[in-house]
Formats: sequence, C-alpha cells, structure tokens
Amino acid sequence: MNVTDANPSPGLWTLAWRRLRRDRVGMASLAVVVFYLCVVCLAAAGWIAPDWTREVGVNYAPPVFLPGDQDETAVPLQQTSAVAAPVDLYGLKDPLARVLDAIRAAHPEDQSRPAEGRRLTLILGGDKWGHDILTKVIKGSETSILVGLIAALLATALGTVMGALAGYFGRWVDDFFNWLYGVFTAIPYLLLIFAIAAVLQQKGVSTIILILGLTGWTGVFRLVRAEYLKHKSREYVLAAGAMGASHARRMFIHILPNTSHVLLVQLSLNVVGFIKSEVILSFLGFGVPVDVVSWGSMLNEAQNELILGKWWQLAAAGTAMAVLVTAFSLLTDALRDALDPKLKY
Amino acid sequence: MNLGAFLLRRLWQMVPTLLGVVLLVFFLFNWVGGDPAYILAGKMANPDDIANIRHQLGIDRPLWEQLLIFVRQIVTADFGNSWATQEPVSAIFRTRLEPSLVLLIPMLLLETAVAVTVALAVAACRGTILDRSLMAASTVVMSISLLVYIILGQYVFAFLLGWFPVKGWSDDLWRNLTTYAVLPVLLGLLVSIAPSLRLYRTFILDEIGQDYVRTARAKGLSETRILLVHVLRNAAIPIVTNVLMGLPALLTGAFLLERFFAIPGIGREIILAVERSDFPIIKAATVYVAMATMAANLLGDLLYHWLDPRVHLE
Amino acid sequence: MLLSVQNLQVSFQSGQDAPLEAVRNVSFDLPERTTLALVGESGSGKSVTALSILGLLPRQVARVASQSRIVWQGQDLLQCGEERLRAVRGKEIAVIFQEPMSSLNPVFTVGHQLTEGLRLHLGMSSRQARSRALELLSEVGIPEPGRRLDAYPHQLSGGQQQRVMIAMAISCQPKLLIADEPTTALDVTIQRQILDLMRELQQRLRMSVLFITHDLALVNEIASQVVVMKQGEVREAGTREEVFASPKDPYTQALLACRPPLEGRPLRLRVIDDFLGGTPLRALPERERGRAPSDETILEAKGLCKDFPVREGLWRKRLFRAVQGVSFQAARGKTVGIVGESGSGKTTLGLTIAGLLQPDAGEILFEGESLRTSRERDPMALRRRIQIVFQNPYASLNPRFTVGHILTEPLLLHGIGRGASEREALARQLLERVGLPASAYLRYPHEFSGGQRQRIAIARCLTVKPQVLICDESVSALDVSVQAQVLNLLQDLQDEFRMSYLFISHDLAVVRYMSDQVLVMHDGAVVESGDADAVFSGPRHPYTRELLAAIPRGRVR
Repeated sequence: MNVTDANPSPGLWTLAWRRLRRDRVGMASLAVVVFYLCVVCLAAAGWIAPDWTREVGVNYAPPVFLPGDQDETAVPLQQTSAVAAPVDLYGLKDPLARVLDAIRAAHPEDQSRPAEGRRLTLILGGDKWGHDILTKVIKGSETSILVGLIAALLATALGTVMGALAGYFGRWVDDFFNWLYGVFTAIPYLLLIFAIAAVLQQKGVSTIILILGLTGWTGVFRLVRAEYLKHKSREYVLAAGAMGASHARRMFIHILPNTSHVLLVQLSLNVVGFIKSEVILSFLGFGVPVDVVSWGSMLNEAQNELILGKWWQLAAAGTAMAVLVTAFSLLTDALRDALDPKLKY
Repeated sequence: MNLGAFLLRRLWQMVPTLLGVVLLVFFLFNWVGGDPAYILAGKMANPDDIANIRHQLGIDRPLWEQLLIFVRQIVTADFGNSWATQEPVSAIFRTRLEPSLVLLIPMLLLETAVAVTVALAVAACRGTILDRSLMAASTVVMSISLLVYIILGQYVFAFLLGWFPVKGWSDDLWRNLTTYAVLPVLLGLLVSIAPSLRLYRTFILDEIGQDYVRTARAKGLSETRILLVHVLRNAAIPIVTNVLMGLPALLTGAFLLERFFAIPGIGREIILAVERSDFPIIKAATVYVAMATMAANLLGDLLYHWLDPRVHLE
Repeated sequence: MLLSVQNLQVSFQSGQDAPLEAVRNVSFDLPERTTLALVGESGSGKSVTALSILGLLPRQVARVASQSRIVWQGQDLLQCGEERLRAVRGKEIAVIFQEPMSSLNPVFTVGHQLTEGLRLHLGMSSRQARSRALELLSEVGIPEPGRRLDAYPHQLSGGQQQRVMIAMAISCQPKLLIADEPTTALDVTIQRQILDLMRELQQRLRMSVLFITHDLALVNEIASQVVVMKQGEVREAGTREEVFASPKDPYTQALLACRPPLEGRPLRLRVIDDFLGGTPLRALPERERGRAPSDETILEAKGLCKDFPVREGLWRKRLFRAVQGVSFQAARGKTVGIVGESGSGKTTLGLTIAGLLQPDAGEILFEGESLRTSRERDPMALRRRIQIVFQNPYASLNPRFTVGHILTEPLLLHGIGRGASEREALARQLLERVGLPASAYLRYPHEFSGGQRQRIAIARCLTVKPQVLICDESVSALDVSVQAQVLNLLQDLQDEFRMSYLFISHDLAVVRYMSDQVLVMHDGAVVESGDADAVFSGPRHPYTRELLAAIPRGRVR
C-alpha cells in the first residue's frame, strides 16, 4: 500500500460526529444519556443500589434536605388506607396488598420490629415501608431503560428487515408486509398492548420487552420501506446490479448503510416511546411484576402517597424520567440534524 | 373516476385487513392466551365447572368452529355478556360511548386549533429565539409523563385548590362539559399539543421552502397572505390527514384520563376489563376500534383527495 | 438607465460555518427595452445576482454587503422598505423561474394565481381580473384559454406551465422581466417556442429582459448585451457582437469553444486549460465518422419492446409501451447515438440493453448470441461485456463507500486480480487512466465535483473491461466546460480499448459529435436512423427536422 498519499478523508459518520460535536445542546443531552446508561450498567452489575427491598428508613422518611420539623414521619400503615384517595380505585385489586405480602414473606423478621434501627431521614426520602427512594429510582431506571432499549432494538431490527424486503422486492412481498402493517396499525397501539397483556397471564420484564418489541415495529417498517423504494432505483444501486451484485449484497451492503440515519433516529424515538409505554403499563399493574421496581410502579405508589403530602417518591421518579426522556428527545433532534443526508454532498 | 367507484375499491381493499385483525385477535385470545375457563371459574374450580364453562364458551370445539363463532359475534355485534358484570357487551359500549366523546371532541378541536395557530406563528418567526425556545419547551413538556401531569394536576387543582371536582360524571351533558370534563381536557391538551405543534411546524416549514412561495413573493404578495393563503392551503393537506388518522389513537390516549377522573367512558371500561380478564369486552373493543380506525383512514383518504387536486381518486 | 447594479456583494451564512461568498463586486447596467444575458456555469452566482434584485434570497442566510447598490429608476431597492419592495415586485419587475411545475402553487387553479397579482397591483374586481386573465392566456399562446383558466397546474404540460408563468409575469405590464433559466427544464422544441414567445413579448410590451442562462448559444439568439460570470465575479461584459466575435477573457473564449460544433468535428474538444496556457492554439484535424461496411457487428437489437403496467379504471391495468419495436446494429469500436426528448423511451431502451430491465418482446444479440441464452449460461460474463454510465453523477456513486471500495467491488465480484493488493493496484491504475490522482482512492464521493464523479463512474465500468458501454445522458448534468473534458476522455478510451458506445442524450450537438450512427426516437419508436452525418445534414422525417431546427445556433466563428 502506498503510504505517502494515504490521507484518508473523513467518512460520512466522521462528518456527522463533527457536526454533532458542534451542537452544544446535543452534546449535553448525549452526556446525560451516557450518565444514565452508566448508572444502569453499574446497577445491573450490582455495584450500586444492590437491594431496594431493604427497609433502611422509617416509614415515609423525608429527604435530608427538608427542614427537620417532620415529626410525624412514622405513620402507621393502617392509617394510609383510611385516607380517602381522590383517585378511582374502583375495581382495582389492591396492588399494595400484593407487594406487602411479598415483602412480608421475604422478610419475616421485619414485621415484629417495624421502626427499630432505621434512619429518620434518607437522601431522597423513603416510601411507605421505608425503602430508600434513591435506591429505588436507580433500580427503577435500570428496569425502565433496559426495557426501552432492548424492546427498541428488537422492534427496529424487525421493522428494518421487513421494510427492506418489502421495499426492495415489491410485488407480492410488499403486498404481504403491507397487509401485516395494515393489520397492526388498525388496532391503536396501547389497545393492542393491553389486549396482549390481558391474555398473557405471567408477568415479567421479558414479557413486556416482547410485547413492546413485537408490536412496535410498524413505524420503522414504514420509513425503511420508503427508503428502500427510493434507493432501489437510485443509480448507484442500478450500477451495482449492472456489475452483477446479488440482491442480498445490494440490499444490505449498498442500501442499508444509506438508510442508517433513519434507523438511528427511529431507534432513539422508539426508546423514548417504549419507556413511556412501559411506565404506563407498569403503573396500571399490567407491566413489571411486584418484585421488580420501575418508574411506572413508583408513580403508582406515589399517587397515594401524595394525598398524605409525601411528595418525594413522585418527584424522584417523575424527575428521573423527565430528565432522561428530555435528553433523549433533544439528542434525537441533534442526531437528525447531524445525520441529515441533504448535508452530505 | 367517480366517488362511488373509489369508495367501493377502498372498501374492497379493507376486507383483507379486517380479516387480518379478526385472525390476530382470535389467535391471541384462543391460542396464545390458554384456557379462559380457569380464569372464569376462579380458584375454587372443580373439573365439572370447568367442563361446563368450556362448553358454554364453545372452546371445547375445534378451532375453526370457534373462529366461526367469533366471526358471527362480530357480524351480529353480539359478544354475549361481560364475564365480570354480566351486562351485555353491546350495552356497555353503547352507554360508554357518550362520555368518551364528550371528553375527546373538545380535546381534538382545541388541540388542532391551538397547534395550527401556534405552528403558523412559530413558522412566521422561524429561526428566532422565540421559535427555538418554544420548540425546546415543547420537548421538555412532551418528556414528562402524562401520569405525572394527571397526578399533580388532580392533586393541586382539584384536591388542594378545589377549582374543579376531583372526579365524577353526571347525566347532564352541559354540566359534564363545563364542570367534569374541563380539568381532564386541559391535562390531556398539555401532553398532546406539543407533538402536534412540532409536526405541524415541520409541515408548514416544508411548504415555506417550496418554489411557489418564491413565486408568490415575486408577485408582491405580503408575507401574511403568503402564509395564510398559499402555505396554509398546502400544509392543510398533511395536517387534516394527520388529525383524522390520529383520531383512534386519541381514544386510547383517554384511557388514563378516564380512569383517574372516574369518567365512565370506553377507555376506562377497557382498563377494567384488562384488570378483570374480561375477554368479551377486550375482544369486542379491539375489533370495533380497529374498524373505526379503518373508517377514519378512509375518511382521511377521501379528504386528502378532496384537498389535493394533484391526486385523482384511483 | 432602468436598472443599475453596483458593487453587488452577497454572502451566505449558515450555522457556524464561515460565510460563503456567492457574489463579489458585480456591476452592470440595464437600459430600457434591452435584453441583457447573465451567463455562467453552476456556482457562478448568476441566479443569486438576479434574485437579490428583488430581495428574494432567503433572508435567514443571505447577507448583502452595505456598499452594494441596486438602483431601479433612481431608487436603491436595497435601501427601501419592504412595503415599497412589494409594490415593485410583480408590478414593475416580474420574474419567471426554471421549474414551472414547482413554481406554480399546486393547489390553486391557473386562474386564481393569474388574478391574484391583477387584483393586488391594479385593484381589479374579480370579474375584471378574470377577463384580463383570459386575454393574457391567449396572449401567451395557450389553446382554449377559457378551459385552462380553471385547470390546476399539474393538468398542463411543462411548456404550457411556463407560458402560464410568463402570463403571470407580464400581467401588470412590468418594465423588467427577470427570466432565471426559463427554458432549461424544457425539451428543445418547447424551448424554441418559449424563446420565440419571450422575444415577441419583449418587443410588443417594450420591456427589458434580464435573461439568466448557462447556455451561450441561447444568448446569441436573444440578448443584445452579455455579462459573463464565473465564481461570483464578472469576467467579461459587452454587447453580443463584442463578446461573441472577439472574446477577451480566456474563460469566455473557452466557453465559446468547448461546445461541440454543429458543423465539422474536431479530433478533440477545447477545454479551459487550452486557453489558460497562453500558447496560441493550433487548428485540430477533423475526425471521420460513420460505419464502414467492413465493421463487424457486436450488438444487435431486433424488435425490442418494453411495457410498463398503468392502472386504469376501477380494477383494470393497462400496458404502456415505452419502447416499441426498436432494431439497430452496433459496430465494434463505433458509437451509436440515440437522441430523443423526454418520454421518448431512450433511457428505457438503455436499461433494457444493459440487462437491468427485461424486454417484453424482441431480442438482443451479442456477437450473434441471444442475451437470454448467454445469461442462462453465465450471468456474470454478460455483466463484463455490457456496462452503463448513468446521468446523475451525484446518485451513481454510493456515498457510504470510498472510491477504492467502489472500484474494487466489481473486481472482487468478478474474481479479477489475485488478492487485495493486486486489486488495489488495478484500481489505482484506472483512477490515473481517467485523469484522477491516485490519492482519490481513499476518499469519499462527496469530496469530488460532478465531472470527477463521472470519471469515477467511468473507471468503475472499466474495471471489468466491457466491450459495450452505454452512456445514458452521461454528460447532461455537467457544466459545458466539464462536459468537454469528459467527452474527450470517453473518446480517448474508445480509441484505446475499441469499445462500442451507445450514446444516449437529448443534446443533439453532443450526439452528433460523438456518434457514427444515430437513432432518432419519438414516443418509444425509432423515427429515423442512419449514419450521423447523413441524418444531421439531410433529415428525412419531419420530427427530425423539427428537432434540428430547434437547436439554438449561437456559435459565431
């Protein structure tokens, strides 16, 4: 290889990265997203927030930064149910009872001495049973983000393969996948998820990932199909065909990299969408099982606590989610700008 | 081609989609879901009870017969009774429709009006600080979960301040509109306006970049006239289509509002049904909402053809 | 003086990038009832200059320097307010643009768009405006104006759309008409009609016209004053006679010389470098064209047809025949030129012969053997024999591949060269052969200009050493000076490798220069064929005659 003239020019990814680096909002959002991902990895490895079910504080322990006149911190459990909640609990199997049963079964020793050796305040406060909310938020982030990420990867992969086949081959392949798309989009997304959640009796994190991933491919499909329709008659693909490149080679080596900007943006949109869906599902009790904490299940507990003036769980879970989703959305916008193919030539 | 032929053709094209929806729902409930008899019989079931229930539901028959039963249910709109309350499914949907519409129609109208107006204003001053800060604000507003808005809104405006009833519904349409629906509609708008605003802004900006805008400017038209006549008329095509296609999705968006504010609408009924594993209601809801979606899409198509002279009915 | 542009300086600022200077120190005067042509290739700043007269540049990004003046009848348009500018636009100065289809609002009728300006500037009632619009449509030569008034733009042909644009422009009897490449998007016969119309209107309405174009031949037909621009600067200005008869600037000289002449056929076309050297140019020998009886036939098409399905009515599909019964023979080492206007089926014919579309009837013989049977025997061997160079240099190279990757991929697919290093050496040789530095190997297509990209596309075809090369409008998207370079390259390669060319183009001068034989296509069928010189000097079919008569003959020698 001749080294003297080997000054390789920046590829399109490098150029996009340079544009992104000049976008201050985009870089700040990227930093926030990376921070969350680090926390998730550490939590998944068990290095931080190892056990959220330990009752480390008194019931409803307030956050440390509140003025110290919170003397009614240890509210007996019985009183909470006596307070009239403004929300409609009609028809709900009390989710708290199940949680309580599970915890009692797991920690039989705690029931005898409820408030012994527990801290009066916690960094972000404690919940009804005195679980540390900071730990819960971290574990909750782990659940919600992992569900969002993996489901988005699954949905994007599915949508890409189907969209590529439909757009590239056209004819009956296209008719078939379009039919499938029509069927899945005829049923509103949340309703479809609810129906599947109703049918599947066993709950679990992997079940939600599957539900979201198998139903959420439609948006990616539509865009990838359109891209393939556009690109398959572009001259560079025709030229590859004239050179004898196979269909698989034209589809995945020539066209796929040219749709990557669409994929990346869709992936990132899907992560946000799936996190929101997971939160709603878990809030309603159709999502994660009771022994797993997610932002949705925290919000569920928080709505009852709010009536008692215990706002910290709501604030913690709501803020954690809002910050991540905001950062992700801003990052998506920045990515869209940086990867804009109109700037390429 | 005339309208009748177009409608006929589109209705014909809907048949396979509808068939697909029916198959999907059937597959989900009669194959994936396992045996619903155990759910119905409860924990204390004895084998006789289960056999009896299986016979009543028809699930002891071969799959194709079950499919026929399902199709007959759809065609006759008779899904039997709710497993939980024994109320006929058709009656449930009939009575729950009105509260849902009372909530949804004002929400849809307000959302479209506000989003289009603001999008036009923002597009007129594109690139300025106002534009950018509004867009950033809408991103932040979009990122906070609807749940947080509802929980906080209900607590602050209804529970603490007492401006609105905490929850409830009445038999009087006017009272519902002016009292019970106000807070839910406002909270719903908070979440739904931001994404529409961003979308409509890009639709309008796409049109502003077109060559015919330059022609209009070269003719000496004022910026206001260009925006309100030339641009808006073109941007209306994707906007109207988008509003119509989003109609069914709005229905499901009201799930949470109806549940929190105890509004006896379809969304709340579906959530209850999922909680109680009340399959007839879920099945009926899925199939009929799918039909409504397809109808809305058809309407959207018709409007699209009516608004855009370039597209012939074909 | 009607309009006087003084020291115009425009730059574009986007994002945090350094501002891009589009126009530098441009000055010219336009007297009353005169046509001034602003000529230049892409990037010369001619359209920016024209648009800045009426303040039509995008305000967010365009900056006009403070010392610039655009004096319209004694008033500086850059200084006056938006209100005054709007009164000038459409009333005193009107504009027509290159793409009539996108320049008309698709959702309003022709009548609505025509009357808008009349009601605004002349205060007409809607009924008055409508009858005036009717007059205007017949004035610009639109048949059945009453019916067309209620038509939408997409229901008109491209030529009629441009007539509507002209009607709109002259509706308030402006003193100046700015025409920004008004015929570039149109077929040559339509271009002729629009030019005639514009000239006629200019005299009847006593307007001045500022005519922006890249085509010097057009200038000679329509303008009395010429300004030649390059890269944002004025290179030469003067009357038509001065500029065409004795151009002073080497760039103008080159522009005039690099178009293929309609008479004679020099061995090579002049390129810009020939004029910058300063050495006097020697006359070039002529090249002989035509097919000799001894020439061996390499490719033969027999009654080729290609259909496309078109939906019609409620359920039925109709077949549209894009190519009907085309037959021809191509000789080894010679060029068959295929000319036709848009929609004539020439590109479909090219794709069918390249094997990218399958013919619905007829057959293609390569060295006497049907392509259908040889494809069954060895599909890859066929790919090595026939290759194709496309029109759009911006779409024909995969933007995610380096040039090296683009060139070595066919070598890999066809098993040419042992090992990566040998393939790389081959690719670098080819790059040098098409006149690119070997360092291009590691670069991405987006760093190259249109002409350079077309060279890369040619090098990609050469990797498999084809015997037949199809050039589908391969130089049409390029500026004339670059066009000449690429045509010279193609000519050299043909001489060196004895390739046969199928040269497809709408540009008659280029086809005539390149071809030994010509096919004239119209509505999918060949209307005339024969030796190039015979067809061009003595056309027999009326359509060929019409085509030839429409060529702008701007060359003065």
